[in-house]
Amino acid sequence: MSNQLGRPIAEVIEANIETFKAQCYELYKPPPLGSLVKAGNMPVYGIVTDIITEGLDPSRPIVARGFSATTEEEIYTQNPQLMELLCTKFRAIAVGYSHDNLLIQGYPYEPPKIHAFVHECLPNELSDLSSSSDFIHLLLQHPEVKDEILTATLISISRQITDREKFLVRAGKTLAIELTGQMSRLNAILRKLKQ
Amino acid sequence: MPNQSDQTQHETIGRVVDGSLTRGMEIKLESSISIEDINNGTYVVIQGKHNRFVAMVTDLTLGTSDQNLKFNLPDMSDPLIREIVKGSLTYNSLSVRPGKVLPAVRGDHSDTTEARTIPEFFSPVFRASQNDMESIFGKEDENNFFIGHPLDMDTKICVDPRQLIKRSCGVFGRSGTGKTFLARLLMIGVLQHTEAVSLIFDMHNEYGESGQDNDRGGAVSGLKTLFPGQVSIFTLDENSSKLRKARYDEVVRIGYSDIEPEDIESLTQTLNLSDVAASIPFTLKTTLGDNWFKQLVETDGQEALNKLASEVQVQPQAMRALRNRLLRLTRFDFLDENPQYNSLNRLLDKLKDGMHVVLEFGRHGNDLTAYILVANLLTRRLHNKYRELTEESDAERGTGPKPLVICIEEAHRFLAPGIASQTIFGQIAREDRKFNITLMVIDQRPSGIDSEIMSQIATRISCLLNDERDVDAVLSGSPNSRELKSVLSRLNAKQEALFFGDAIPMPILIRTRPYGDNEHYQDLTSPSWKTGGQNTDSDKDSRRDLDALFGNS
Ligand SMILES: Nc1ncnc2c1ncn2[C@@H]1O[C@H](COP(=O)(O)OP(=O)(O)OP(=O)(O)O)[C@@H](O)[C@H]1O
Ligand SMILES: [Mg+2]
Repeated sequence: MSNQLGRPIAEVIEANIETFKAQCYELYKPPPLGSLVKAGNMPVYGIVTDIITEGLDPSRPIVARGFSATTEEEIYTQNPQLMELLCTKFRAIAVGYSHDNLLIQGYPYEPPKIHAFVHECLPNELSDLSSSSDFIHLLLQHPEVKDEILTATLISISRQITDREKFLVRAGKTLAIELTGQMSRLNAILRKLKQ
Repeated sequence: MPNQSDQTQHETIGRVVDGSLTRGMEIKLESSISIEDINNGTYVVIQGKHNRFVAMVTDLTLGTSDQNLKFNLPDMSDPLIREIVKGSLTYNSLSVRPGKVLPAVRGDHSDTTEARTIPEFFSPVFRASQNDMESIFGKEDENNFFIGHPLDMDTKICVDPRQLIKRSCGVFGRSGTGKTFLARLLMIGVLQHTEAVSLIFDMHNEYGESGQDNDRGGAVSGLKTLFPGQVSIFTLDENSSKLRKARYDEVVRIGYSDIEPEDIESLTQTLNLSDVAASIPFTLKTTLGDNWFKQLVETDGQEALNKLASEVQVQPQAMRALRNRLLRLTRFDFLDENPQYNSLNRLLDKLKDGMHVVLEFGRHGNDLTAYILVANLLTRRLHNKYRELTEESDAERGTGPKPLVICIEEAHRFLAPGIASQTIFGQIAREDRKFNITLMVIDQRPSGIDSEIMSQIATRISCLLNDERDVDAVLSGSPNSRELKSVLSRLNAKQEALFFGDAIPMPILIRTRPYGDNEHYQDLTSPSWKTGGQNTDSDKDSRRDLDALFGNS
C-alpha cells in the first residue's frame, strides 16, 4: 500500500468505533457520498455515508439572505463572511483499518483521534478494499446505511477501479446471499447496480 | 505437472455439499461451469482428504436459495445481473454415485478399490481424466478390448472379455439401437483376447460374411471377413448363401432322428401345441426310440394313426394335431431323413479346433420355428457333449473343453418365464458355466425374459429401451438401479449403451466404438497393442506425474 499522502481534506471532530465525523477544510468540498476516506496516521478507513453543511456557531441561527440577489452565487459574493460562518462536515462508517500496511476489513480496535487528518484514498487502497466483500456486510449491518447509500458506494468504487465488472458481480453475489428471503429489496439494489 | 490438454481436467467443477454412502453425493457446481456442459452419465473424480473417488453423474438439478425467486425475477436480460444471480441465488448441482477409489498416486497402477467411505464436505470435484478412466477400466492391451468411448471424452473404455464370458452376459436395446453391432464387437473381443470359442446363432445373417449397415446403407464386414482363419460359417440355407454370394464352410443337415421330444416342447408356443400334444413326443420316444419323429410323420391315414396312438397309449386326436404341426417341420430343407454326414460332429470338431462358428439361418431366419428348433437342438447336443467332456476331464483333473460362448438373438423366445425352466438355454444360464458354457443373449424385450434367468446375466449392456418394463428388467438386481435408470432412459437412440455388471468395475455409459470402414477394421484386426504400439500420451502423462512427485534425475 502506498503511503504517499496528498493534502488532507478534513479533520476528525467526532469518533467512535463505528463512525467518525470530520469537518472539511473547504466549504462545499466534501468527499463524494460513498467514497472511501482514511483518518489518522494509523489510518482508519471509512465510507462516506452522510454530508452535512451547517452554521459553525449553533447559537447563531442561519437566516435567509437572498431577497436582493438574483443568483445564489451573488449571496455568497455579497456576504463574504458566510464562508467563515458555515462549514461542511461528513460522516463516515468505519470499514477497515491499516495493519502492517495492509487494509484489514472490519471495525478498527480504536477510533481515529480527534483532529486526525482525513485524506481521500488512493486507487490502490480502493482496489484493496474491493478485493473482498466483507465491508458490504458491515455496511448492511449498520442501521444508518440506507440501501441507496450502499448502492452509491458500490457504484463509486466500481468507477474507480480497473475491474469494474468483476467487482460488481462479487458484490452482487454477496448481497444476494446476505439478503436471502428479501427478493424485492435485492432486486431494487441490483437494478441500481446495473446502470 | 499436468500438461496443457490435461488442464481442463484439473479445473474444480464443484464441491461436495451433501450426501450419504447409500444415496450418493450432491455436488454444488462452480458458477463458472455451465450445467449444460455436464452430461448425465459422465464420470467425475472427487478429491477427498485421503481418497480419490470416481463417481458417475446420475442426476442434475437446478436449485435456488430463495423460494421467492420465481415470483420476483431479477432482470435476467442484463448480463451483470445474470452473472450475479448465478451461483448465489441460483446454483446447479449434480448427484453422483461414488463407485471406486483410485490409487492415491496418479499413475500408480495398483488396483482401484470399492468405495466404502465417502469424501469429506466441500471436497473438490474434477472431471475424470484419461488417466483416471484407465486406472479403472484398464488400457487397450492384450487383456483388454476397446469397446467404446465415454460420453464426452476420447478415452478408450475397455473390457476384459475373459471376465465378460465368465458368466452369461446380455446385450439389450430396442430395435435398431446397435445391439448387433455391439455383439459383433464383443465377439471380436472374445476371439482376440480369450481362449474361448463361440457359436453364434445368426438369425439375420449379420455376423459371418457381412452385415447390413442401415444408417449408411450397404454392408459391413462380418467376422469371417476380418478373421478368416478363426471363423467358420455354417449355413442352414445353402441357396440363400449362394444368392448373397456369402462364403460358407459347412451346410447344416439335421437328421429326423436328431429331433428330441424336448425340441418339440420348446416349440409349444410357436407351433401352438396343447400341453397334451407337447408331451406326446416323450411317450413316443420311450416306445419307438430315436425314430419316433420319422415314424410319426410317416404314419399316414386316420386308421394307421389311431393304431399308433393306441399302441403308445396317447390321445389319438392330440397326436393327429401334433403330427399336422410337425409336418411343417419336414418342409425345412435342412431337415433330412438320412443325412450323409453328422453336422453336429463337424460343429464340435470346429469348436475343438478353436474356431468360432457362425450359424447362418439364411431365409429360415424369418421363420421363428426354424430358429427355435435349430438353436435348441444344437445347443442341447452341444451341452450334452460339453457335460461329458467336462466330467471326463474332471475325472482326470483336466481343465475341460474350451470355454464356449453361445450367442443368441431374440433371447426371450428361449428364456420367457413359462419356458425358461425347460429350455436348454434356461438351464445353461442357471448352471452358470458349470460345463464351460455361457450365453451372450441379445434381446429387444428384456421384460420377456424370466427374472431368475435375468439375475444370472452377470454383465449387461443396454442400448436405449423405451418400455419402462424393459428398463426395469434390465436394471433388476443392480445395486444402483434407480440412478442407472435416469441414465439409461436418456441414451441416444444409436450407438450408445450403458455397460454394467460383473465384467466392468463401475457402470459406464459408452459411445460404442465405430464399426464399418476400413480404418475401423484395421484397428480391430491389428490393434496397437499387437503391432507393438507406440507410447500413448497417457503413458507419458503418468510418468510426468510421478516425476513431479518424486523429482526426476
Ligand atoms: N458401433 C457402430 N458403428 C457404426 N454404426 C453403428 C454402430 N452401432 C450401430 N450402428 C448403426 O445403427 C444401425 C443399427 O444397428 P444394429 O443393426 O446393431 O441394431 P440392432 O439393435 O441389432 O437392431 P435390431 O433389433 O433391428 O436387430 C446399424 O445398421 C448402423 O448403421
Ligand atoms: Mg440386430
